[in-house]
Amino acid sequence: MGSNLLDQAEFADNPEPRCPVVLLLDTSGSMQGAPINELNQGLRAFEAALKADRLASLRVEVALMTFGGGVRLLDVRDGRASEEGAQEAFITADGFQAPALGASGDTPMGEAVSRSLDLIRDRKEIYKANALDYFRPWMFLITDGRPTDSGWELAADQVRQEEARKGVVFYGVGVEKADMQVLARFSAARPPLKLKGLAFGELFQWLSKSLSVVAHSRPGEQAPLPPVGWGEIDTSHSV
Amino acid sequence: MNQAAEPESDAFWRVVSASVAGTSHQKLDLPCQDAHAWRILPHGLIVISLADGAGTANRAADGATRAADCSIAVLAESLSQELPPNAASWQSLFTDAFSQAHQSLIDMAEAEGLPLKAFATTLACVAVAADWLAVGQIGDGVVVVGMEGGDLVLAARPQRGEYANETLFLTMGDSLEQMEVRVESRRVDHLIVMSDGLSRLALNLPLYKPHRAFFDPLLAFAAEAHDSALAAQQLVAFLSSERVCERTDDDKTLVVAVRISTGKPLQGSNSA
Repeated sequence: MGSNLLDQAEFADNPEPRCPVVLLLDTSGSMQGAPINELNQGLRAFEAALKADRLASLRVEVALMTFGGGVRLLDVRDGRASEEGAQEAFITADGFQAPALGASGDTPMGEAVSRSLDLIRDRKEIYKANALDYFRPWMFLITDGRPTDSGWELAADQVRQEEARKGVVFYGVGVEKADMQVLARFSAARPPLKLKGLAFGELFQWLSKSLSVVAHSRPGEQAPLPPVGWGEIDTSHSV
Repeated sequence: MNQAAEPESDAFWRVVSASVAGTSHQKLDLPCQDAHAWRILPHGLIVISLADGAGTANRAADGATRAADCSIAVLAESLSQELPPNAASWQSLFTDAFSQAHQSLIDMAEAEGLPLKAFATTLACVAVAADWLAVGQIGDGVVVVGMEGGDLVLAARPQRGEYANETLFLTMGDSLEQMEVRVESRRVDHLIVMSDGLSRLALNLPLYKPHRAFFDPLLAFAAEAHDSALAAQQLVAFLSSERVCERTDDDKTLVVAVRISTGKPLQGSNSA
């Protein structure tokens, strides 16, 4: 009798809190061949892993920006480049479709980072306007080179400032001959990680797991992330 | 543990309560880090404490238990002796209960040679007397109150940061300054205290408006809970049910108290 009453309890219908991540991917000419193929495969594994975690698939929101011969914000529903605003650029993981990226051109990393910061700022405004709860946004940058645009130092400073006011979490990952010293300039909180070989699969498995941990984290938690098996802290260029 | 108290008043309470580990905690082999305690005192008084330990603090379950037990002991002892005559004395009673709970955690951390943050927990306490409602809060506990036949209102709003996974803890250095106390002269017949794990199911965000379709069956259930041990089991089963776990993976505590005006009084206390 009593438990029948409990069965009658209905739940409020609230939107899930959002956990935004911007993937900043180097698609410059030097990524051609094995690197871009491994990266694409890694993205597909990322998609599958997030979709396998029900709550994470409703909470993690992905935006994808590439820098290779220009900065492109991709529509991750279908992998087309899009110039749309923050409302369209992010999609919850349940609707994310990993694109097949090509590689060409130079490396405008500074512009990509700077635009990502704007994107995140706009996204937070949208969350606030719609009274959505959210977790601290992540920027996850992968490069095999160094910036070829002139304003990258400014962009790096902007990330550090945003990080200092707890506005964003920045991860830099260097592939092969990436300039780790430059990458280190983008974050005071986290030294960049050097990818072991082309272990993109492991990297994206780790990223999806880490985002799942954050998306499941409870008030007050600094969620402990899984160990980084795919990379190491590069000390050969220590500043 | 149930202790009989003297039935000195025609107003009394029926209470059902449970704390249940969330599915994400079970996956990580963590214990339930919520703790709660309640006491029914003479003259129709009821006090409830709720503490929600931080998932990343490895002794959070102990911190939560200590905070809930210590605060309820301070409140119950003082209220058994005399009822605060005005809002200011209620306020200082609650401040005292929270600072003693805070000190108790400091003592425990020192005794074990561990940092205070290892015991990180939130704390919410409520007392309802004939014409008083007093609520103290550090963190994101939820307190909902109502009158027979009236609206349900939020009596303690969760304290939140910018991000969804941020709140305040009793173990933070300035926690007592961040403590919020609310004292009102009002009658309360329905009292629900719950941990943050149930917020998204029970409140309509962002205004934190109590969701009646959630609370009404719970209140009816508590009002009919003649056998408190059986009712507690049923509440545990509800909080562990698939339809609840599909919506929240966090630890869940629910304390439902209903003032009953006729029949045999249920008097006692509980600590979990």
